[in-house]
Amino acid sequence: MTPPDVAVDLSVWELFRNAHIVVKIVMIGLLAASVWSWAIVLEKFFLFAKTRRESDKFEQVFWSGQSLEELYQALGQRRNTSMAALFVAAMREWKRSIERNPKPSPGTQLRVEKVMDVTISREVERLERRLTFLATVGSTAPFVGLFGTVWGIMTSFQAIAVSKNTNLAVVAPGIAEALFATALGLAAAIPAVIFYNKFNSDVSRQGAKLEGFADEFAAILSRQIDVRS
Amino acid sequence: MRKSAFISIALHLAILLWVLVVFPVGRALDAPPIEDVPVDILTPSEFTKLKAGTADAKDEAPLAPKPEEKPKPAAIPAKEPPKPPEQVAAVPPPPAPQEKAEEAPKPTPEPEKAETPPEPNPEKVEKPKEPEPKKDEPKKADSKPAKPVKEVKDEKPKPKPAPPLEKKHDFNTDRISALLNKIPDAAKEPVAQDAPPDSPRKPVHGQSTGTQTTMAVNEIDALRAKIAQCWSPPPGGLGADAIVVKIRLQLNEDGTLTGLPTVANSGNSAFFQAAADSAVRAVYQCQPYVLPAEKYSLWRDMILNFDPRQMYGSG
Repeated sequence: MTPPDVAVDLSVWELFRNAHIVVKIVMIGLLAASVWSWAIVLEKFFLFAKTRRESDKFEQVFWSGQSLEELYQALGQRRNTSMAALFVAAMREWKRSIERNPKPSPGTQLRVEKVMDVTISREVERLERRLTFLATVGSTAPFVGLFGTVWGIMTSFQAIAVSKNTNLAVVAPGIAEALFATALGLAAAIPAVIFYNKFNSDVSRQGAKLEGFADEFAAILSRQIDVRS
Repeated sequence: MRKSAFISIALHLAILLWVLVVFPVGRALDAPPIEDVPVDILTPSEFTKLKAGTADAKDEAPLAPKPEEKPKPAAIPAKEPPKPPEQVAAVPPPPAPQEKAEEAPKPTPEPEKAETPPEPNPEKVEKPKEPEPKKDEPKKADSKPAKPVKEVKDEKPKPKPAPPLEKKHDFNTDRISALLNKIPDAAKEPVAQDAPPDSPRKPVHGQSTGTQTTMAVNEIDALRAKIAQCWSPPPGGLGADAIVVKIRLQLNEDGTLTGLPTVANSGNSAFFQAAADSAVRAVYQCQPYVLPAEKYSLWRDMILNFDPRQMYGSG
């Protein structure tokens, strides 16, 4: 071991251990924010992959010329997501209207569209849930880290004032530990911002896709209504 | 969600572990060791003294032993017994000692003779040596300190005849200081520097021992800077740049003015009058001036140049 007065241990753990309690809290908070935002990122990553895969598969089946009734029968029992859920919800509403009144009216069309709108918004909400946390982390983590840094530098300056020694060796550990808080803040914020932007655009793309499908399906139903009336 | 959270935690733990392992201790940066440079802090007056001293020291160092050594060999052969001459003088009765006593005075003139020849010697030695400090000093000091040295160069012919008359000790201090200082005054009117109009040798109250007979350049600069702050030259005007106002001011020991400063030169343009008035006002407003008290004889009475080009530049 090197003599203690010369070797100031600047390892990450020592930086954390020597930090002021406020700085410690800031560091822990930032670490937790980083963990949670990465969890959200991974979860969203899986979710979007799954959603894209399922909607691609559904579109393939939907446009394959298969009877919509059969498709509805096949999908009705399962717990569906995105486009399939939209289709099932619309078909269910359509069937109910037909059962009560075999001669469909313009009201039926309206109801089905309403149901599809609700489903779309529910699906989009499901996709973008927790994304706000990423946005929050992205915008506030640097400030929180900065707060820890300012606090740490404040205390290290107080230490300078007490020891009346401006030697760099006295100042450096305090500043290093203070800057560590900013580093953590940035480490948490940068991925959060990047993935928030990515997922945000993914959500809007998925939403547009659902809207397009809903419009096409409404056109099909409208044709059906014209045929039956 | 649980799966992603788990993955995220595992990821962070892995990174933390990696950080702990890879950066266990802050590695010392390999900076080249800084060599200690001994630095002496000099006051401006010490700086000027130092320069005056180096010119002397080089001369004296080789010469000082010479006059001492030379008389000795001359005296020892004269006095056959090794007894010191004091004892010889103390015992008058015996005639033999009288001869010795007669001989004893002989050595005394001899050293004088011995001393006189060395005196040209320092001159000879000095002549080649003086150029050396001239080369060195401009490098070390600002351009301004160089001026007095140049004056020394100009006045070289004068001191040559002088030294034989003067004692050696005087030669070291007064002559050099006189060279550094006052000769330009006799020839021309006080030049740009605020050299005192009267010679420093005049007995004045506050006359120092004579080693510091020049104002350090830094002190002059400080004074000039202070006045420049107070001075607001009248702006513009035809040929305003070319105007130089010389203000003669007399100061008390506490740095206040003894009377109103007077304009020492004259100009024919109307602008000159305005500039002169403003300069007088500035000098009046800026008092008291903080100047080294031991050099009162130098700044008791001085002439300052007010040159808008310089003042604007510095102020």
